[in-house]
Amino acid sequence: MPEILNLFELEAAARGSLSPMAFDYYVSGADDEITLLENLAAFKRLELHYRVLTGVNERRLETQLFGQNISFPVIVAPTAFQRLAHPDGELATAKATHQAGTIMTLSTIASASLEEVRASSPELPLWFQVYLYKDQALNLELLRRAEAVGVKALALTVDTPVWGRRERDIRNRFSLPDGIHLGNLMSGLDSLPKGAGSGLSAYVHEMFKLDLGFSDLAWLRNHTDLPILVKGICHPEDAVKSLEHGANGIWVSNHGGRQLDTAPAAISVLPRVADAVANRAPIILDGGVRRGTDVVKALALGATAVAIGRPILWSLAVGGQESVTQTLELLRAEIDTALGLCGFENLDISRNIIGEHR
Amino acid sequence: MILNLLELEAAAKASMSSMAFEYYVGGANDEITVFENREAFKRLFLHYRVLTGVNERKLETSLFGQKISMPVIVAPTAFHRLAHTDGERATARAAQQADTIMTVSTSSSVSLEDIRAGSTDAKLWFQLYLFKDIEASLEVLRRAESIGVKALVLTVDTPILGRRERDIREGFYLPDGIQMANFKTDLPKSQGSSLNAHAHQNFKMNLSFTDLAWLRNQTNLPILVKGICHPEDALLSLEHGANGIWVSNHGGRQLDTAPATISVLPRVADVVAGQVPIILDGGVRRGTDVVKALALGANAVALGRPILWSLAVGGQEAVTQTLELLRAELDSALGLCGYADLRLPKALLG
Repeated sequence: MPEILNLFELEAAARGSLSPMAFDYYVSGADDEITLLENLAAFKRLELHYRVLTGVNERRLETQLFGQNISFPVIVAPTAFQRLAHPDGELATAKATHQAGTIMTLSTIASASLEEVRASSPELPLWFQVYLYKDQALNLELLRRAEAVGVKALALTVDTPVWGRRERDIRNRFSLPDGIHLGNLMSGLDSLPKGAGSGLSAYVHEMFKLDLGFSDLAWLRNHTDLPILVKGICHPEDAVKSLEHGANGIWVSNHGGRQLDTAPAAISVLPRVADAVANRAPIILDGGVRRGTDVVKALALGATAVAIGRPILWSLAVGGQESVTQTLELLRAEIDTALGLCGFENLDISRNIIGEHR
Repeated sequence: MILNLLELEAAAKASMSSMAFEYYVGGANDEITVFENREAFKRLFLHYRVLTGVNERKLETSLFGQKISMPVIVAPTAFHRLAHTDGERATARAAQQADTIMTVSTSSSVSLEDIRAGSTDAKLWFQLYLFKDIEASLEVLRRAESIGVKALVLTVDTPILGRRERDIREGFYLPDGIQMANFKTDLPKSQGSSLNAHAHQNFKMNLSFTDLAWLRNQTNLPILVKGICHPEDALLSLEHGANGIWVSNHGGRQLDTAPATISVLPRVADVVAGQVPIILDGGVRRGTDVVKALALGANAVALGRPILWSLAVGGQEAVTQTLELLRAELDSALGLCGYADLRLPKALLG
């Protein structure tokens, strides 16, 4: 394995071990990929106004989400089809996440099933990302199975009223190679069509209930006692309305820049969302988190934890479970250093440490 | 395979003479405004809404009582036959097929009458350069009226023709068989840009509001004033009889370092205050760009270069594909923003 010094280096290292179609699928954003870039750029524009002579010696990175202790404020975001990156796919991610003492969010369209993940990692704190299908019976079945394997929270994705136009996938006619399936779905629903354009886009437009409203959130609320996070929030009013309709957590995300291009960076909208949520519910943020300082910035601006997506996929491609572990430990070490350099000894970080330059 | 409007330029370059390509692609001086028209769109972020239950979007709108299927019209551009032998005939047919408006240029390479003959139901507007010879201006105005043009677009950002260095370098002229068809005028090879020479010789460049008032008195057609950058000029135009404001910097071809059109739109829209429709051109390439222009006060946007590139790539069929591609992008962008129709709040921009 190449020597990886930071999460940015993973992408280039992973590229050689991925098929061009898989690499493009993971790396791409919608349209001109402006939001994809902005997620990273917005973090860079934030300055950390560190404090000195604080006498801080050791940092405590532990936190809690819905009563669950995790070892640091980084969880694994839901990403699809991890077996495109490594034969062990989601099972490797699960083991590495468990080892790191944090949460993995399994995608509805994972390439391993809820039951397979649970069997291979019995103690893993597991969340489940929900896409609603048009078939309500199927939604209920998936929900019951998630509950049965001991999932601790659901993350309902709400930023896909239309599937984002990822031009690389159209050009590549993205579909799944033989042997890789949607692990949670029964035969007939577990493969992507092969044809012109993106097979995933064709699949979701046919199968998913895309035009979700708050009534769908309320429906989910009525069918489970699990905490529900609403994932894909950009606007503070939508955060408030989500809480009013029964959400227990807010997940600020623009889907890694894969949905509406020129949506604002996740970190840019976080402060206003956090103000609106006003500590009533935990906030997760994903989108462009690559450095320990990014995590510090997100926490300072109101996130309870951050989630990482692509760096996990690149790690899987580079070296499976072991590499995912290294990535999580690398980020943990960076957070510890960043906190120390900022002069904080735990995650209680005040917002006024952040300044912005243009 | 063309997946977006930005890819058209490179695809078109291969099928055009370098002189024609340079003429279309060029801006004034350092082309800062050409670039800025695009960049300013990219700097605007869309603060989308979720869980709206929006399923289908309505893209229809109307301009001066005329219904169009989407808020995208064809901007006036000159000499379409430099891009494709069918020229403006192909553009008009594609616009008719897409059910939107085509603005025919004074400097079209197919005459008004021939465009109308080729697409009897096309929704046509006519872009007007005034001539030094008032009779010539009146004659072309009457011809536009007689073929059923629905609005006039008076270009006002050319008190001097912009210095397009590519045209000077290439020695721009019209090849044999291509004319300013409305006047059967050739632009033969000469020193420098022969368009520049022709315009300065024949067009009344130094327009003022009295010229707008003159035009107002000569026709009952709605008049849009095209080339507006400043809110006060929008107001003065309305006071002098304009029925619409067209925010444009001529695709960056006139005053270089003029601001991006999308940057000045909000202030223009504030003073126009819904009294008349506003068209915007300059850098529109994505469905999200259209959403941004509408949220900031435009009633519709106009496409210039992407139409020319499409013509070069594949004539009428490619123009149709381009309009349909943008329609699909606009539909997706509206859906992703959480809106069911074109009534978009300014707050969408944050």
